[in-house]
Amino acid sequence: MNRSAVDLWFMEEVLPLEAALTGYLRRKWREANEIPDLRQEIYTRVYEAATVAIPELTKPFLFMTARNLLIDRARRAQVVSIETVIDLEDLDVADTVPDPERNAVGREAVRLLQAAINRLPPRCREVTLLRKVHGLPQRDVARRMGISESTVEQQVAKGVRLIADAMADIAPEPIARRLGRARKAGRS
Amino acid sequence: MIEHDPIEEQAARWLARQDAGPLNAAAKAGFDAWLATSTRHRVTYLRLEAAWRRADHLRSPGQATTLPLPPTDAPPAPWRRWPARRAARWATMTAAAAAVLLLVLPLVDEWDWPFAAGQKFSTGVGDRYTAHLQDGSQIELNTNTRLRASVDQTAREVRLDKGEAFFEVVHDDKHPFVVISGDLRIVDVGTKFSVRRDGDKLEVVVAEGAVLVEDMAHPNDVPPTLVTQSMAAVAQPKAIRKSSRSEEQIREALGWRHGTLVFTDRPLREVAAEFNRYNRKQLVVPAEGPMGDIRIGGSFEATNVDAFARLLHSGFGLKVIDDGREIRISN
Repeated sequence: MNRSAVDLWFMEEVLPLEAALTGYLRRKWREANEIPDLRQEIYTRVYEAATVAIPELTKPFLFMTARNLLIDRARRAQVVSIETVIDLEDLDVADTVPDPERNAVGREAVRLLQAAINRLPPRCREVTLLRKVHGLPQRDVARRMGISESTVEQQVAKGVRLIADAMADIAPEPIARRLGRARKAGRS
Repeated sequence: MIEHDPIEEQAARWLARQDAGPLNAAAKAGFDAWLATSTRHRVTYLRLEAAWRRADHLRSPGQATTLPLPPTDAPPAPWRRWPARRAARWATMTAAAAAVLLLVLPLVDEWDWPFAAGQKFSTGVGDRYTAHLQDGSQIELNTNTRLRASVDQTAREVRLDKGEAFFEVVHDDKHPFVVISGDLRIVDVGTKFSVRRDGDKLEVVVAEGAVLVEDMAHPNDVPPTLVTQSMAAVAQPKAIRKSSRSEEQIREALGWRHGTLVFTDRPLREVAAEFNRYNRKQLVVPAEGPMGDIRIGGSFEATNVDAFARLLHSGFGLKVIDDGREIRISN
């Protein structure tokens, strides 16, 4: 696929904020099962806005978009407590979430990612391990596991969705912990 | 569980197909047309692609140790049981085998998965996370919590290293679900319950069913205590105290599952300590003097300590000084 400047901006600037965005949506929106849909809608809105002009500051823009969407949805909902709307409007979102680690996946994130892969269903986990950790191409994964290439492809399709969802929970580490106690805390 | 989302399903299929190898002309035209259909298709695909690429960080050659893969006619799936500490021995064993491919193990010192020590789950300050175990049981982790779960066909054991968690256990007579924290052991008898650890003090609140609490270090001094629905137990070394809880008190104790702190007539000193579990920005209430005894009631968003401080100011006329790291309360 040909990548545009907007694609790159979206992947490098917006997606690393997903853990923070998901956390924000969870705190502000009671219906947990609606969060993936809200998130995709927010992504669609920021992407479309960026095709006109890429915003200078991604984080405030993303969270402003999120907040506006939540207010829209809350107002449209049949029953909504006044409290919810006030709470949404009250919050200066841009300051409440930490910056993500830039271009780096910290040790803690790697650990959480490993944990996420551990939770995959057995066959899917094995395909993912061979493909991503051991770096085997799909064809070799199939041969090694004695399953068909199309089965491997199906497992990849399943694994990528589960991994993407797991990453939505991998929040950036606060700097102090990352540099100092993080290692010790990670082992037990 | 994967949510049913047709667009994401299609995006995942396109991604898996390209992960197998480059698309032919016809497929490529199909993919481009699919992408062009709507921005939602595009952002969904980009999100999956970014996640899939990010998983490549599991393979970081910079810090890697290389080991040969076993020959391809080896029985499949031995890597399921490759903990790092055994990797060296394994390497010796297979050194004679012809190395066809390279196996790259990143971050070897942390490479104790899969299964070596069970699954580990942790949350940062202010975060929550729900872990789904393979036996169908669920664990909800509250703020700043760390636990390890070993759940398989033979045993179900969770170690709570710190923090608080709510357990919804799928009961199985043959394989009791056991939570271990310090010297205390909690055995489920068909249950929903929460466990909170503060150093060597443990609080168990049972929302449904019953659990058995045992002091493993002092089995002769402290008999196992059965804690049933609508009861709580506070356990410390050599002492397990039981008390009953109203339905409302149980709801309050579990408010964190919805991100809420609920207080009824609680002294400000304790309320501040609760908020401090969920926020990096700490509330500081003078240790001496009557201020810590001010009674607080109500329901608050756990991670919005600023809103609570504003309330102390507007509702109680207290002075609030916020330097970004701490919020100091004074008269």
